[in-house]
Amino acid sequence: MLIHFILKDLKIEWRSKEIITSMFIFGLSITLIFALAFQVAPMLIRTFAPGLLWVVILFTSVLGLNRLFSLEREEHAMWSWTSAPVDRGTVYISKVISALLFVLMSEILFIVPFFIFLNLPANFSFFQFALILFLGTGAIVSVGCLISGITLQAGLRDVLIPILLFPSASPVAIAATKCTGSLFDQKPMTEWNFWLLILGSFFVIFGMFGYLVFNRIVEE
Amino acid sequence: MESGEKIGLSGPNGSGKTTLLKMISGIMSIDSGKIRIGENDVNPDEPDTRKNLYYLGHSVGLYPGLTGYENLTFISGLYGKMNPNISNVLIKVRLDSAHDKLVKFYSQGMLQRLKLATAIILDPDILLLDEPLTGLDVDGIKLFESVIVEWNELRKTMIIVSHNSDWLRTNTDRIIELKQC
Amino acid sequence: MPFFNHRNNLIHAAIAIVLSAINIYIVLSLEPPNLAQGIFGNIFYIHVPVAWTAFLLYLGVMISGVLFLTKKNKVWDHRGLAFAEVGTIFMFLVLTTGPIWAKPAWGIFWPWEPRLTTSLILFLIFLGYFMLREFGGNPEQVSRYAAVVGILAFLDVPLIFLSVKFWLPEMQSHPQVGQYFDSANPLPTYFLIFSFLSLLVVSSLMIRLRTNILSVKEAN
Repeated sequence: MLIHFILKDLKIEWRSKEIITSMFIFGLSITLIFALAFQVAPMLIRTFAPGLLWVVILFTSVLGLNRLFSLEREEHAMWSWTSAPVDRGTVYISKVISALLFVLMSEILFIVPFFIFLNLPANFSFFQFALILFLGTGAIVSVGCLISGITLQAGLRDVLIPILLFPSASPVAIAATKCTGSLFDQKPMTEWNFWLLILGSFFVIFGMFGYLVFNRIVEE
Repeated sequence: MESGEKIGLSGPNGSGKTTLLKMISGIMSIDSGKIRIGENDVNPDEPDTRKNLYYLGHSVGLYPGLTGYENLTFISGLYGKMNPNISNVLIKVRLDSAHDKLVKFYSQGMLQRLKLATAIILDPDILLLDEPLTGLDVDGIKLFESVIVEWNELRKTMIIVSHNSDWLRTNTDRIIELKQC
Repeated sequence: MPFFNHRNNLIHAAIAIVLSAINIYIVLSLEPPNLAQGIFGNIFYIHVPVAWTAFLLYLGVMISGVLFLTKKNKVWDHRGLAFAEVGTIFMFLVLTTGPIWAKPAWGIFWPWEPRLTTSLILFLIFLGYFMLREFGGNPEQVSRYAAVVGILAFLDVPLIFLSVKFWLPEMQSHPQVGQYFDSANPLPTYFLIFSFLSLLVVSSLMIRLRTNILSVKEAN
């Protein structure tokens, strides 16, 4: 059933490509603004880059989550599964996985221009970088899907998603920036694996919480 | 209500017809009181209590970004039905030509037929139909009436909400009038 | 029947007023422990107990949320909202008394001290909570959403605290606290506990009054 839901999201996105495209272009535009605004001090940008990267990822995630959940809202498509004999927690997990896939996909697309525009050297382990991206994005979308689920039927959803998501995800912003910064400074992983642990526990705690309460959220 | 009954539900706007159907179907949580189907209470926390009934809302409940065929496959998957007859049902509701058309390009009448097709495929014991006539042309209404006759012969329980009380009077066993309080 | 027509409630209010008056008198008349900070140093006896109370109240929001989602009894929704409102007032006091103390103690208004930062982030999540309450739409759904956000906020506390604590390791938490206590003189500890107790009495009165108002509104 989980795969059934994920395939549905993938199929719709494969056909329209609107979620990934909009996230990618939006990410690219913010990167451009950052590059222009921080051009004054090319050396400083190295210190700021990890933070900037996660700001871009947070902003694009909000955009992606909003689109991903509006798939369910348009024409009340969600009624197909809210009235079906389906465990709604499973739907939450499927949304987390779809969101993770979409956001990671857009990250892969805009990270190359991010490094080129900001003149960042890419001399670090790509495997470790991928691990940070995976856990950080997972943490963001786990709480993000929960909040988007809330705003699925609430008013003011465009405003409420970032207003609730940004403060809740502040530990993710700190931990992911710390990881990425240490990686860019080529510090050994043993010095910063504490931050990976924070990201991982955030992912797991909010993933489980979302699974438990999603049923009560989607009821009308 | 007895099983196999065909009941019309009417009443003024805002009297809670749709709310009632949504509560029976489990989409909406229940504040007070209980809804009992056979031996079981309807409980939104228990997915299995929703197995034998199907809610056909007046809003669509279909994914605009999928084709008609894909929507039917998705919905039948939700009910654990691996039904190979989707193409036949599409022919029956005369949507075979729109098989691969995205639902967002469907007209109102085509959407209603597609919704009818979901109900035929799922083949539930209890059907909750909310304004099924809206947007149907004369052919569509005839088609719908014939499907209702079929369902009635299969002893399915139906609750039909409609504004059209003449139609309800000729096509249902009895009518329940909801009053605004 | 109005809240203050009950004798018990009047007694509760009287105790709250007397305790608060004594508490304020103690704080204003105490000899400041550190002459350089002057009378501002005494705000310690307000700031710290207010912060404890605020976190306790937000814990109350979470517990009410869990009970509302499981028991579906409207009274837990009212209690949750009352806890959130009173908690946010106390959190606001934390965020104002913090800088008043920080200026003489650290020389800056805003130290990114873990507890203070955690308070700020929680306060922001709760601003989102009130926006959701206000603009969320259908009242029955909004009650459930608010319960979920209240639980989410408190689940976030340990993660926020840990990440802020290790974010700036050079920032010690409350370096000045030591000067208030010494083994020879237990009085400051007693004053602190007394202040905390008087705030508990005041906040419980506020919550009971607010819950009462909400239930009366609901009944009409």
